[in-house]
Amino acid sequence: MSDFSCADGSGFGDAAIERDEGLGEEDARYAAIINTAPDAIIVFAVGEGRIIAWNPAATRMFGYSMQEAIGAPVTLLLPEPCPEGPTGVFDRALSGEEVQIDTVRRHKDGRLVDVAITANRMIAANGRVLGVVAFMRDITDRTAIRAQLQASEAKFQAIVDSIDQMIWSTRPDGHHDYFNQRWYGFTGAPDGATEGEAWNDMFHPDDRDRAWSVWRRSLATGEPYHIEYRLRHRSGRYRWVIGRAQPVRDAAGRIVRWYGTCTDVHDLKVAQEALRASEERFRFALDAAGGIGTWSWDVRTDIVTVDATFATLFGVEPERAADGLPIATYVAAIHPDDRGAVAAEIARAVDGGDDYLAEYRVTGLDGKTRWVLARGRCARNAQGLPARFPGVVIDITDRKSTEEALRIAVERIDLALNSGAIVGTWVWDIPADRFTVDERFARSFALSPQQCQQGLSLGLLMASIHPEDWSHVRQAVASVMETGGPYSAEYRVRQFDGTYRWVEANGHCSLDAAGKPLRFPGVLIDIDRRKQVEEELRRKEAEATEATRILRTVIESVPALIYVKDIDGRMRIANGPVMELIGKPWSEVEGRTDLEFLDDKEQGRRIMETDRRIMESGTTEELEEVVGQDERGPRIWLSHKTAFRDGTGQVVGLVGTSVDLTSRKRAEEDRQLLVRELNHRVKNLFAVAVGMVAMTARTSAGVRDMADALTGRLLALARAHDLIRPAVTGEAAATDGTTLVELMQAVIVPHLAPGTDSLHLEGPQVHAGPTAATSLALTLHELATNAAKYGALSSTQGTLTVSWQTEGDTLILLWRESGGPVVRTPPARRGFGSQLIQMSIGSQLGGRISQEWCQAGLRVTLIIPFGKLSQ
Amino acid sequence: MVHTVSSRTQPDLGSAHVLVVEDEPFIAYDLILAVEDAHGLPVGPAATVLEALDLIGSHKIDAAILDVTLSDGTVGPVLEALEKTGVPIVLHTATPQSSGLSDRFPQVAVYTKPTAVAVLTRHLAKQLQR
Repeated sequence: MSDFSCADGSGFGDAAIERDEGLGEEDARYAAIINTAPDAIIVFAVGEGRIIAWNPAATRMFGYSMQEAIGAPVTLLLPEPCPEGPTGVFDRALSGEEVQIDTVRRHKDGRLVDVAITANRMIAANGRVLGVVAFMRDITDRTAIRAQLQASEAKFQAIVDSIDQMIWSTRPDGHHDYFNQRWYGFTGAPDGATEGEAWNDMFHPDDRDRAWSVWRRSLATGEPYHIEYRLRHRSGRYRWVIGRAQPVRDAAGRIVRWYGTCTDVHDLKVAQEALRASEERFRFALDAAGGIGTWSWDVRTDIVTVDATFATLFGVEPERAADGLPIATYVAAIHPDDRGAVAAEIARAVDGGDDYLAEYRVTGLDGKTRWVLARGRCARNAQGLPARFPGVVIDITDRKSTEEALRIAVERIDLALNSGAIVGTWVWDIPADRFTVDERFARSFALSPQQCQQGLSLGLLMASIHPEDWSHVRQAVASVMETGGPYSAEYRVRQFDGTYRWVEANGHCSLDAAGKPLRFPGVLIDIDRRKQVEEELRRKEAEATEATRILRTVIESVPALIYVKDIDGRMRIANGPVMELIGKPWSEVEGRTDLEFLDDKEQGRRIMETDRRIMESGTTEELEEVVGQDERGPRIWLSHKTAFRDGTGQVVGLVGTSVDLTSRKRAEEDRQLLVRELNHRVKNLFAVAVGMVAMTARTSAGVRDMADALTGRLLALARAHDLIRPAVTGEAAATDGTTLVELMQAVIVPHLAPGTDSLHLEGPQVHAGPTAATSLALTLHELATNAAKYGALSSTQGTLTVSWQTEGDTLILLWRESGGPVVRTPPARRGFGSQLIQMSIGSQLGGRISQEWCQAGLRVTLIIPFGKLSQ
Repeated sequence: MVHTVSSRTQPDLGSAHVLVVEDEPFIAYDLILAVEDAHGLPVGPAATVLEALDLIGSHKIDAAILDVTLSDGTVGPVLEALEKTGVPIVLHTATPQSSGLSDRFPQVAVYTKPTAVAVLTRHLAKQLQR
């Protein structure tokens, strides 16, 4: 009680601040509380703020005794400098504010004491302001925590100030109590400003309501929030930011603070806007062909085919350009200052086969000059010569704002360049499996606008693809989603009318940092025409292959020689029969001349002369040729040879076929020989017959006698001819002739009396040639005739025995008659018959004949050399 | 026809010695008789080249009727031998083209078999009368 003293020296317990009001029992209770309170309780008087009351806790806290403190100025405990100003707490409290503050006060010994002050105005019952009462609690024991807090705050501060984001915090009620340096830097709000002024008019008028409503909802629900809005920059312009806020909760789950960030995304947003704008522009350009023109230059014919956009850009009426114009027409439209460089670039692309890329100015149909970007590639033919030079030009006059569009456009143009017209573009947001497609794409996939609005998924699009293409499309998609990078697939897409059309999809799948597929944009190219052409080409190739195969089969199965030689007579194609004739492997024939591969050089030389003549005159010839040899002699061919021309009509070789004439030729020769032989014989026979008639006439006694003799002789001749005919006509070997037995039976038997057995033939098998047979037949006929008239055959008892044997190189034939009429003497006159025999045996067969008229009958001996006999 | 001609005008060889070379007996004797009919003196007949050459060597020959194809070859050597003497000759052959003799001896008359023997003797008679 005595410890709490007032300025006037009286104790607080029994001396009231206002003495005249006096103290009751209640006052004494208050005094006891005050004197025993653990907090310092100090009363500063109204006016200068001198200390008028001081309790023991204040003495313990600050070192001053009540005596020392009472009457001391308001600054007694204030450190130098004071954090809240010399009279900050006193003035504020005096003005009626309840001041609560954690601050420092100075101990009597000079050290600073951490205190938590709560200061209030003291008002008397009559309303008079008495002063300020301050309760001060020693919070030095919280120093360690505070130091820690300060350290972490410093760290936090360092972090938040180094982060390129604005950071703020609020109390649970949304009252902002902190902004980092970035915030002040961005907004230009005075440093340290918090609630109120820091947010005043910060939102773009268009975004304000939305921003506040989102924030209020988060405050109400405790859900984090995320919003894009425009925030006023210190420059006065608004910039796009992304605001995020997150509540921090205590152990009980109550929100204790909100922390928020603002990220300046303005540049990004602008870039995106630009991208979108340029994409739209690009799409517009594609749709309307507004800005992109295409050309195709046939380098060899110098005909440039362009579309209407290109023509318009280059100042040429599209109607005039339709049929193709020389490149000079379009070069003329290029700005004179650019023309040289463009020409050089074109030449470089044509000569070097490089990609062509140029930017230059052209004057269009409307007379305006535009900047264009031209891009193309010179394609070469199989010989490596420049053939086709297609490309595109894009109007880049507004290039500053279309830089991004350009990049994309060029990429897409590259894709389009390679194969044809772009029929659509897509962007696939893979995590969401959502396709964003353009109108053309939707049309290509026969998608209704409703479907597009409801959102497209991969599954939905696959349904439009031809089932046969599903597996490889799925595979291609899966593969690129695994690895990222470029994607390309060809497949058929169902049209509205139910038919399928070939398209080529070219895209690019990008992956996130974790390797998960993210975005997958691409373009669709119509390749139906190309596919048709490819199909046609494949079909034609197959047909050609089949035709070649058939041709080859035909060539090989024809029994004639078929061959192709080049202009120098070197063999290029030859079928099996040719190889058989040459008798050498193809490796020794291919590319060589007849002179080289034929063994008979004379034949080779003649063939080459013929071939040269045909190729020089460029004509077709049919001729007989001698090539090769068989056992009977050279082989003869009927060759049909034609000069062979290339596409330009130039003779480049010779095609020939040759048919083997050898056997036909030989058969013909044989036949001619036979005809000659027969002719000879027939004439001879007629001559013989003529002679026979004349002779018989001269030697006959009468007509009857002559007729008998002539008939007999002609028949003998006929029989002999019958026997030798097979040899003459080639039905049997020419050497065969006939045998003596056959000859004798044929000639003699007709002279025998019917039913008699009077002829005996004995001898070995001996052959007689055609000539000898005739002579023998006539001789034997004459002998038989005589025997039948006068000798053994004229009587039924007579017998005729003809025997022969060989002795060395001669044949000895013995004719013996017996049992006939008795022969007394040889005939008085040697008749024609014996002369005939003499001539036939002696002259024709070079033999000898002797006749002997014995008692028993006639004996004739013929000796004939074998040499003559076989003729 | 042939016989008509021969019977109408009988040729006259005026005892000329006519060599007959023919290996076919009937023809040979027909020729011999034809020569005799035309008042010629036949020499032969010879059936071979060898016999013919023998006869030429041993007999006077004023004219000749020769078959071309004989058993020991063509009648060429006989023709050569007679050619030097300049006597009229007729070739009597079934195959006038095949021997080639008419090319070698163009002045020699060629008659194709069968020809009436009188035609041959008439030809020779005409030649001899010149």
